[in-house]
Amino acid sequence: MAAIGRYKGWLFVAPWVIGLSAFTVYPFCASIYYSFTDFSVLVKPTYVGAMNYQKIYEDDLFWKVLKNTFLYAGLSIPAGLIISLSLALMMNGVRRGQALYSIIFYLPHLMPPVACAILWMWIFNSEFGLLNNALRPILGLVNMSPPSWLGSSDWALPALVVMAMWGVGQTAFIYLAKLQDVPQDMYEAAEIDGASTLQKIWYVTLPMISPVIFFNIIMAIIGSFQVFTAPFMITEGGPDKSTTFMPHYIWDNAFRFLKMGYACAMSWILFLVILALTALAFRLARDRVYYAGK
Amino acid sequence: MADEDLTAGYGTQAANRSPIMAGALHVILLAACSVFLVPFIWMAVTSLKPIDQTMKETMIPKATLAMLNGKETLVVRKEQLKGESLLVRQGGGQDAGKVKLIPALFKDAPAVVNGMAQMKFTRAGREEYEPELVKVEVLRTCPKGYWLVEEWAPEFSQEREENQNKELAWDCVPESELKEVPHLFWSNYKSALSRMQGNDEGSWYSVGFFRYLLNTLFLCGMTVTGMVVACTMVAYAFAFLEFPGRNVLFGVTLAVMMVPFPATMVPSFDLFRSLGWTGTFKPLWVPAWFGGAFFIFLLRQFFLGLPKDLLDAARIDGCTELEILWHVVVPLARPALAMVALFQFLHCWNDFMGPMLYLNDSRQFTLSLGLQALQSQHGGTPMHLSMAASMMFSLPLVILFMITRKTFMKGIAMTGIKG
Repeated sequence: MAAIGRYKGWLFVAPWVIGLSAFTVYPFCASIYYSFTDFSVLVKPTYVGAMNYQKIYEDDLFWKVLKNTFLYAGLSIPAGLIISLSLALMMNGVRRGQALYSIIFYLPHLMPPVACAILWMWIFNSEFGLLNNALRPILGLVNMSPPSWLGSSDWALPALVVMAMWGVGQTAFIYLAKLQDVPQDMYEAAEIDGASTLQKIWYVTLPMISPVIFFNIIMAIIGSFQVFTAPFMITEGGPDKSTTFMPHYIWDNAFRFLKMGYACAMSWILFLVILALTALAFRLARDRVYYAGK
Repeated sequence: MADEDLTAGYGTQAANRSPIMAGALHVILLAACSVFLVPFIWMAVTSLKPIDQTMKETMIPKATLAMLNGKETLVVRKEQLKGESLLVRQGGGQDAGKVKLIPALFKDAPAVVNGMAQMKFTRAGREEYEPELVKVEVLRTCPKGYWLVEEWAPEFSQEREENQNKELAWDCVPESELKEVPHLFWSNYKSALSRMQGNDEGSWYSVGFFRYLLNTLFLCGMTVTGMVVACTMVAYAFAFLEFPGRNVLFGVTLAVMMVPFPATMVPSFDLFRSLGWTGTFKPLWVPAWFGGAFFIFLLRQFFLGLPKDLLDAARIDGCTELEILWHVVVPLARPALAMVALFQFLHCWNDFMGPMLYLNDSRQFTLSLGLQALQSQHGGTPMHLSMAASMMFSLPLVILFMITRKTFMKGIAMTGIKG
């Protein structure tokens, strides 16, 4: 009985093990294999060595897409962090209304990406959109006109970042919840030492919630490199391929151009990039994240 | 009230803050709230506008009313008369009996004698022939500046298509007789629904919005059930059962969360294709019955926080693990399970890439796919209808959130704090 008892656990985790192997591990490994082949839905995989990787190296569009993806992440991760943290700090600083504020900030996060895409596509519309209708009179005072947002290769990507910022409510709420957990004696000690509000935030609050900040940054890195729905629907990767990100390019190569081996090679590079950034974050966090009582 | 949960920790921080500071924070927060809410309000307002107002930033949809045939009707302004025109009834010819509007200064304008005149009309389809001379009865003169208005009809309604040849009432009225009133065009919703129906043959439940809704609900139901059942079992094992390789497996579980979807997208698609599952719902719900990394992690953390003595007591009483799971752990873990169910439901409802990848037939589409198809329809979709469709797609979530708010917020907090 004891022997069976030890392996009871395996029975319970069996579904996960099967699912993991079939739906994650197998595709993951297959992806590596396929990246060294040339295949599509119609053509069986044929080994071509590192040709796909060679082609990626020579593919100008790939480098542009990679740059776009980094740019998007580089804008949305810090912006999201600052906005959600600021909102959380402000909400934490008021006595009443926290529940109501956090609900209002959270609502946009609920919205289906497809509906969001349609809505923001309309808001950013250069002729009739809400944003430009509001900006036009203001900019008209200095003889400028608002940019054509989704139609301009310079502004389309920032527009997508702005759209993503609408959904920071969940992160803000996580910060708020964690802020509530900061023990009061810390603040009292800091006040005794004569700390100003800003100093208290920098030296007490932020370190105390640093695990959550770190967690959110990791999630943001992983998430921002996988953005698909919004650019796919709104800009279709344009204008002039300025909003084509890695997932979209991989999709196109796999299902439109039917170069699945090529797409697998790219998806592997994407994974390695995310892994490298995550490892970098872990390394940087080692000295900065403070796990109180863990 | 949920306020207790949130304000439990606050203390000297906010208490010592001066009212001015607190007031300033409220002002900024309220400003931020309005920025966050404006897109919502805009979506709602646009969904209730008639098409000509979707281009303007009016906040309140307005309708124009006029007296047509003695009845106050909703009208559309067609054009403003640039010169004096005559309202005539055609005496003969192809359109005999029909009332028409002709410009009075037209060089071929008839000379009006005793209310009757003669006009040249060209028969439709017979342009090569000489225009016929037809008697017309002049009904009324419409001075310059009058508006030609036509009865308003909702676009793409079933009735409109059935009555293609039905004449819409129209007239020429002065500006003074037109009334602008706030009016919510609820018919946009009906129009959006019928536009989603498209030209497909079928009843209301086999194509169109309600079909998409049924499909989405089916998928949500299947994935939520599967996820909750599977993840509970697996998390139970990770939390309470000792078995060789447990820590390694858990480490792998955590690592899996980092694998981006695009990395497994292509081989997964190939796998499902070789199973013959592409074009069906199976790739979308079957994997859920095997669990998901994130929820397993979350539930395991939650289970670890449960009092172990209860489980030990149950074991001493001779319960099998399954019995412990079902009778002890599950009742205690109800909030966590509810949370998993909610988040999985949300994820499934909003999912776009999965259905996009595996569903081909429009009868299988989920709501997100249906909405996207509506948007990218040939010829484009007018924004007010798109907004109406988006509202129908999003509102159930908002309502669900309002009902389950506490569970939701607790769940979000848990992902952050335990993470």
